[in-house]
This record gives sequence, structure tokens and C-alpha cells, in this order.
Amino acid sequence: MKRIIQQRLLGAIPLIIGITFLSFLIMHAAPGDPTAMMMDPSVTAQDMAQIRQNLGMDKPIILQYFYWIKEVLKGNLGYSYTTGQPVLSTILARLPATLILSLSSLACILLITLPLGLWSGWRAGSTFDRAVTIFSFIGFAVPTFWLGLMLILSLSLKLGLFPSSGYMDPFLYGASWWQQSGSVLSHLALPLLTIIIGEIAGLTRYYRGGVIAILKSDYILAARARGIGDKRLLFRHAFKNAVLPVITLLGLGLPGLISGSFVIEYIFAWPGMGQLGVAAVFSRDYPVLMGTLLLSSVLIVMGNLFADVSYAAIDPRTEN
Amino acid sequence: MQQLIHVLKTDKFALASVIFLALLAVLGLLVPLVPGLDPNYFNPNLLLEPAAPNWQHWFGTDDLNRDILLRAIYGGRISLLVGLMSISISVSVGTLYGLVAGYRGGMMDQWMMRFVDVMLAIPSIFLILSLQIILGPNMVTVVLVIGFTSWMGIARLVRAEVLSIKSRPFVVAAKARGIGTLSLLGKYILPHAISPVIVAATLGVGGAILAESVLSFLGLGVQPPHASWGNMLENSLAFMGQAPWMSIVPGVLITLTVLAFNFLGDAIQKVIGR
Amino acid sequence: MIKRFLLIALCCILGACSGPDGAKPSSNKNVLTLNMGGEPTYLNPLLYTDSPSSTVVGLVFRGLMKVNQNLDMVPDLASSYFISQDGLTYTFNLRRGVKWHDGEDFTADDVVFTFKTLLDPSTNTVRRSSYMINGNPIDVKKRDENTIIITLPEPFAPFLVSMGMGILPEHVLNGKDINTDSFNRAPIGTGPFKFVRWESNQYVMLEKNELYYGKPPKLDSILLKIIPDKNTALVALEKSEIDLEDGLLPKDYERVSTNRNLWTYRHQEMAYTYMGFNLQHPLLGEKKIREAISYALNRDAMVKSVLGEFGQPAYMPASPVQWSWPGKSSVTIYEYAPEKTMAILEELGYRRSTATGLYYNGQGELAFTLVTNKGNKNREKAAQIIQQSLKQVGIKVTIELLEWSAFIKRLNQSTGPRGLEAYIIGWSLGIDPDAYSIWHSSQYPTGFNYIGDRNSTVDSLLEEGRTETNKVKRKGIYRQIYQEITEDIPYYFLYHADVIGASHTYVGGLMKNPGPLGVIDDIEDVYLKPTLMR
Repeated sequence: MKRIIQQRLLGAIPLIIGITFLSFLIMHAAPGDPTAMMMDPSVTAQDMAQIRQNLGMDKPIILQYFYWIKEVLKGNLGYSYTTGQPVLSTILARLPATLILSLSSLACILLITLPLGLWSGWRAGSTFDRAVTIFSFIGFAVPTFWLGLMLILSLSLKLGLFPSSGYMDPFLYGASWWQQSGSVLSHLALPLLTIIIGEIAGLTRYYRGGVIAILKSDYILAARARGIGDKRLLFRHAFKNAVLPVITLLGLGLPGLISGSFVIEYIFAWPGMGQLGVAAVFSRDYPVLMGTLLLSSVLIVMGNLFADVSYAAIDPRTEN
Repeated sequence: MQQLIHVLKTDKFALASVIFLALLAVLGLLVPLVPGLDPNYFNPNLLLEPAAPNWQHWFGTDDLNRDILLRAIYGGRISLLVGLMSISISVSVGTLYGLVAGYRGGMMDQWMMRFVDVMLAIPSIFLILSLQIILGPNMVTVVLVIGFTSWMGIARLVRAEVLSIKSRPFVVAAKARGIGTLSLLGKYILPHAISPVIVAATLGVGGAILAESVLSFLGLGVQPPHASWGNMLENSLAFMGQAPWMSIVPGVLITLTVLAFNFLGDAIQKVIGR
Repeated sequence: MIKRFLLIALCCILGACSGPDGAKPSSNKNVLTLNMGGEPTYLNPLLYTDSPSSTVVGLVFRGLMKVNQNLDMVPDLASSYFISQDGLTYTFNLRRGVKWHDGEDFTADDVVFTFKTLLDPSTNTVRRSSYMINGNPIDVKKRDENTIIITLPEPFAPFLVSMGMGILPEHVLNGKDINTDSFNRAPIGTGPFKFVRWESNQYVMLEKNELYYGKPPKLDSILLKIIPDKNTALVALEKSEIDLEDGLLPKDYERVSTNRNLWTYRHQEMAYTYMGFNLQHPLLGEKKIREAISYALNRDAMVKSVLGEFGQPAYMPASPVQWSWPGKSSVTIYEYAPEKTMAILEELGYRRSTATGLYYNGQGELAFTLVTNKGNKNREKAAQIIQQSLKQVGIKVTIELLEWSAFIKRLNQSTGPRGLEAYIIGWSLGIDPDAYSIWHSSQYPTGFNYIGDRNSTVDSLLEEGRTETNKVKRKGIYRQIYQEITEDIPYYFLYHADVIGASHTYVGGLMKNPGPLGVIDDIEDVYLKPTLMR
């Protein structure tokens, strides 16, 4: 176990350097720079050049990258080009909303897809199975931004069930934890619903396929022959198998958790990292973008590590 | 093939999907042959506003007075083309990459897979956005960007298949007979590794069509005056209250098409899975 | 079934949390809620360049001077000012007893500090050039605690306008790095509202400044929300999640104006949108070609289609609300006459192909690329109408929509004969008509004269216009400039779009007939009617 962790952590260094360097090159290849946001007829070219120089953008890209790495190693992620604020605090400010949305959607998806998938697989070909297939596929097929807007128009404007957008009622600042969570939950409803509808299909299909495979397996056939009730067997077996994709999801899904669902955050004015990152791409705010990517690559490494360690713990054979 | 026909006979959804996609393709190919139908035509001297569905325009017009049905047919050509082309790229790149990595193995494989890790680790929206900004938006770049940011999954899939196939007796035997690497890969390994790729590709077409619509939502999709379902839907959002008909046709068509590719992928999987 | 049940259950659980009747937790305060549309950048009058920040800065900070509804500059933190005979020395007497939001006294040192910081090259500001006249900085000195003397290197007519910039507190910022200090996220000013809190990508909360030197504000707080999506913002307005929304699209007008809870307003904006031609380009550099293009465009119909009733055609590089506006009849207008286009093209030796319907000559088809930024629906629509109109007279236009940063990069870098051919963009105009940086030939290739206009008459008139201080004489100078420019068609002027907005009827103290500065004249006067106070 110790060896796996050591190996993985060593392997992480080139991975993180690779991710950040590649993205650094790609971001800088995009035409335009942060000063494009400062367009105004009263600005002179000299002022723009001065600002570029102040921001260190007149240096060669490779040098800029090494400078960035050097500062990161000292624990300094730099300052945003668009707000002048430290990148670290900018990112940290977005973290709670991002985590709430992504973790709650992950939890809901797991809770919904597990029974749906198991039951569909168990009764493959039944009306129930077909209905689940069709509805989950439709959910996947509807463009997210269209769905989101329609949910706002129907559930928020027409029925008044939820607020249209935002994160927490500003007047609850300083209110009790209980009241604040309530407010966050009601704002969370629509974006969460939009994500769930879109992503139910994937895992449901996965579980369904798993159950069908198990039902055909020698193991179950043998158990049946011995006269053991297959329902009990199936569910024990299936639940055990269900743990693995959760681990994989948590491991591999982490970059997705960070970049978040930009479209959803934008439509519902949800203050997450997706909006931060995309705004940074559009305004060429390289420090913020690199900070976001650094965080996501660190999370990926940690996620992979977590997945490997858990696999090893569950099934010792994978250690080789 | 026979199995496929059999599945189509029993699986009504797959059959409906094939018919629906065929209909789109036929309309997309035939309608442009009809003279005098220009999806981009409008009279600039008129007051240009969206018009509700009527006898002349069955599904209404958009904000430039252009017929929505006609644009949807032309847009379908582009959306389908974007979906198919970008998946062709991602399948070719991914398959080739996976074949080489899996077959060569060793350090080469290690390095190639680390690069896949790097590509997968960069959140795809940042990658797609930056590339699209670098290349500038038009249909070709949409295809390239979607294609070159979605091959990694297929590469992993193919590599895993190749790893398991290359130690099988028939491959070892062929190798012993001194068959060249290229024909070994092409004749012995690829045919056995390709089935999961076909399923992934079919499902991927739907994903690529959705990706085009998201690019359009961000303003980086197919450029006007040319229609794609993505840019029609994006343009319609601003008119949701005033002219809801503008969003229904492209929205429903995207949904149905992606749905059809999913059903098709499902059916193919059934055939291959046996 | 299970899925539906789960969804319904989820809705119930989440719905229950929002309170029994879905009402927002009420505070008994008088709070006005607005939408800024985006995350602010710097809450610092020297550093911001975006409109959300400008909204906040305008409420928190005050400058020596301010603009009134007649678009005149009047004293604000200054109580009076005096200009020397030669137009070089400005003396500002400062208002006494003004306090910063933290309770400290406002003094002449703050003013000196603000301009010293502004002129320091290490400050990342785009405003420096307004305080440098032909490369020489202004000189700001304190005579005593309540008097500031500013000396200009040479007379400069637009100078007073730039004295509207907010003043920074020296006691807070002295010795700090202005570019990165946390002040930019938690500012201290002298304005009617003081900063309370900024929750990233959610809102900025301001509250009444009890120490304000002017009329005491009627509102207790202002909540500035950040809702980027326009459709969502409209729903938020209809649901009273925001009280007032500026910048609605023309197509939304009908929807809000039929809502009995909303009061809809509109006002002119000091800006114009145009199609610029690259004058260094071999094709578009030819005036006859630009003339042919102009004759083919039906400006009135286009503006109607793009803006409906909410805008007017533009004919010159000035807005009807500016004092320098000479009237439509004083400038050259190439009215819609497509037959003239074809006559000109035939005369230039172009022939029309029967196969493609396009004009061509020895060098190929008559075609150019029109670039604009993606996301501005009005410009996208105008570009497509231009494309279609020109197609009908045999000119091929290819549209390219670029994302903003890339677009600006192209404008800045692709000058010269092989650069951008034509593009659509807008200029927002200042209170002063000086447009040196847009038209003077020294502003090409680096500067805002993207099109490479080189007109020596315009050059000398522009130089004269900014040093002449007599308003009547200046008006004559600018009329000449507009005549020269419209005659030569470096730009095809498109439209002046109106700003459309709506507010809930319970918001009081707004302008009945808003001018170009917007619906809020004095924020101090705005209040919420008591029955609907939240």
C-alpha cells in the first residue's frame, strides 16, 4: 500500500507539469490579451503597453511559465489580471458553491441510478425497463441550456416553486446556519434538477448492463442450481459491483467537479468555478486560469490515488 | 449484418431511429436540389421580425423572416455533418493511437498513456474554448476541435483491447509465421478490437451534436448566415418569450437526433455483445 | 415511476425549505435590488474598465466634479472652481467637512495622492492619457488643506470632464500596491453609499452613508446582484427578485410593457454603432467602392429591423444628445439608391456574372469580409442584413463573428492593406466631443484609428478642437470635422441604440423622462414605496 502511494505521488509531478505546461501554451496561443477588456477610446497605446509590461506579458512565454512555476513552488499563485486580487482567495471563494453543486448532484445521481439500473437490468425488456431507457435517454439528449431555461420559465416563473437564480438570499448573511442552508437548498433545486436529468442515463445504463451480465454468469447459474434465491444473491453481488464505479467516478470525475457545469452555472447565476474559469479564458486572465487548472490537476492526482488505494483495499490482487 | 437486421426488426426504437435519421439525410440531400429555396434568403427592405407559424411558413420564421423549417433542414445537414465528421476524427485518431500504444507496449505505451492522462485532466470546456478561440469559429474548426478533444476515451478503449488480443494464440501464431507488423495490426488485431469502438462512436455522434450546440451557446459555433441546429437554438433563446416557436424546431430536432443515435448505439451493442 | 417519485420528492424537500409561501425572508429595510449583469473587477475609480464596476464605483466614490442632467460639469467634492485666463491653471476649492466612509476627514492630500497614483507608470490604469496632454502630465498641487491647483502644460478643452473621476483616500492606500491591494475589493469612498460586502459572483451589498455630505439617501441599502444570463435576469425582474433592470433588448419591450407591475422606460445613449472600412485596403480604400456600398444599404429599414422603435439611424460620429451635434442636414448622407451602386460598379469596370449574380473584374469577385463580435445580437443582425443587401447588388460579404478579445486583437494588429477589411463595432461617446484618438492620423497604426484614416484637414481641425475653449467656436470646428468625415465614408454609420429598462412600480424617485445618463438622476432620491417595502 505504501509503495502504491509513493509511486503515484512521484508520478504526479510530471503529470502536473505536463498539464500546466500544455495548458499554458494553449492559453497563450489564443489571440488577444487581458488589455482587450480595457478598450476605451481615451486609452493610448502607450498605456496599454505599460500595463502589459507591468503584468510581465512582454516576456517570452517559456520564461513566463518558469516564473509562474517558481512562484507556485513558493506558494504564490499570483494575482488575477482582471481584478488584481490573489488567485488563491479568488478560487477559494468559489469552492463552496462548486462543491455543493457537484457533490449533491453526484449523490443524487447515485441514489437515483442505482435502484433504477438494478431494477431495469433485473426486469430487462419490461415496460419499466423501456420507460427508464427512453426517459433517461431523452434527458441526455436535450441541450442543457434549453432545458435549464425551460425549467426556469416553468418551475420558477409560472409555478413560483424556486428562485430563478443565485446562491443564497443576501439578507440571510449572518443568519443561522439552518436558515442559510435552507436558502442555498432552494436555490440549488433548479441547477441540480437540470444536471440530474442530463446525467441519469449514463450510470443507469452501466448498472443495468452489470446486472444483465451477472444474471448470465456461471456464478448465478451455479447458485440457482444450488437453489439459492437469486434476488438475494443478485443484489448482494450487484451492490458490491456498484461500489467500484462510485470510486472511479470520484477519482476520474474530479476535474469535472472543478470545471463544473459552466452552462448551468451561467444560466442559474451559480457562483462556481466553471464561470470563473470560462470568464478567465475569455478575458485571458492567465493566472486565474492556471490556478484553476493547477487545482484540478492536483485533485485528479488525489482522485486517482484514492481510487487506486481503494481498489487495492477492496481487491488485493490489483496491487500488481 | 444479419444480426443487425434482426435486432432492427425486434427493436422498434432502433428501427424508428434508423428511419428518422434516414429521413433527415434524404431531406438534407434532396431539398437543396429544389430550385428557388434559399434558407438564407430574406428581403432586407422589409421589417424583419419573427412570424408565428402560418400556411406559408409551417413552423414560423426567425427574427430575419427566414423560414424555420427550411433552415432546420439545412441546419440538420450541418449538424449531422459536424457530428459524423468530428467522430470520424476522434475514432481515427483514438484507434490509431490506441493500436500503437497497445501494440508497442513498454516505455512508449507508458509515455503515450501519460499524454492521454494529461489531455483528460484538462477540463474539456477550457480546452475546447481555447482551441476554438485560437482557430477562429467556422464549421471546419468546430469539427476539428470537437474531434481532437474527444479521442482519448477511444484510445484507452482500443489500447486495452489490443493488450488482451496481442497475447492470444492466433496473434502469436501469425507473428510466428513472420507476418509484417502492419498487416498483423490491420488483419488480426484491429478487427477484434473494433467492436466497442463502433458502439462508442455511435453514441459519440450524439455527444458531438450536443457539443456543437454548446459551442453555439458560447458564440463559437457555425457562423451566420449558415444554419446549424445549435446556432438556431442559441439564437432562439433570446426570443423564448416573444417567439417560442423559434426554439421548438431546433430543440426537438437535436433531442430526437441524439436520442436516435443512442438507440442505435444500444442496438449495435446488443448485436456485438451477442 | 421511481424516478418520477424521486424527482417529486426532491422538489418537495427543496421547495419546503424556501419557506411557507415562497416569499423571501423580509428585512424591514428599504433595499433596492439591481442586476449588474457581471462580476465587477476593481472597485477602484482608477483601475476599473467594465460596466459592473462602474456602477458600484459611481455609488461609492465621488470626484471633484460631476455631470448633471444637462451634461454640464458641476462641482461635487469641490465647492467651486476657477479657471485662469490662459486656460492653464485650474483652482478647486474643496468642500469642507466631508468624511470618508471610515470617518476620517477628506483633505487636499487625498486629491494630490489620487492624481500622483494615477500618473505613476506602475499603476495599471487606462485613464492616464486623459491627464497627459501631448505627452506631458498635468501638475497637481495643494495650496492649503482646502485648495487644489492644477496646471496644464497647454490649454485642453476636455479637461474638466476628466475631473469627474473618483478620489481615493490617501490614509488607507498610502504605501500600498494599488494594483493588488484588497482595497479594490472593499473600497472606502465619500459617496452616498458605503461598501458592505462582495460575495464573488453573487452580489455586492452597499448601505447608506450616514456621514454623506449631500442629501441623505432615502434607501437604506442597495443590493447589486450578478445575473449574467439576460433571459434569467428578465425572469428575476418579473419575480421581483430584482427591482429594476437596465439594458433590456428591444424584443423584450412588449413582454415587460404589458406587465402591470412594471414601469418601462427608455432613453438615448451617447454612442453610435458603425461599419468601419480599412482605408489601407486596395478595394475598400477606394472611395467609389465605399460609395457603392453605401448606396446599396437601406439604413432606415435596417435600423427598424434591428432596433424596432428603440433607436435611430446614425449619420455621423456624434450623438444627437451631444452639444456638438450639428443636425442631420449639416453632413453628407448617401441615401439608399441601389441603382447607383450598380452604375458605379459598371463605371469602375466591373461586370456582373449571370451564374453567381456577383460583380467581378480581372482580379476576381467583388467581395469582402465583415467582422464583428459575437454575443451582440443587434450587431449580428445588422451584419446579416448588410450581407443580404449587398448580395442583392452583386457584392459578396462573408461574415466572421469573433469572441471579444480575439476581435480586439484583430482590430489592433491587422492594420495595413492585408488587415481586417470591414468590421462592425460601436464607440461610446464622452461628454466632450473631442475624438482625437479615433480620427487623428497619429493614432494609426497603434491607437484607435484602426481604419488608417489620414486626412490632414481632419487632423488640424481635431488639434484645434481640443485646444479651443470657446464652446461656440468648438461647435463650428466639430461641424466641419463631421462634414469632412461623412463626405469621405471611412465609416458607414449604422445606428444609435436606445437603452430600454423596466422597474417595478413600487420604486419611486426615478426620472420620468430619463436623459442619456440613465433613469437614476440622484440615487439619493430613489426610494421604495412603503406599501411594498421589503
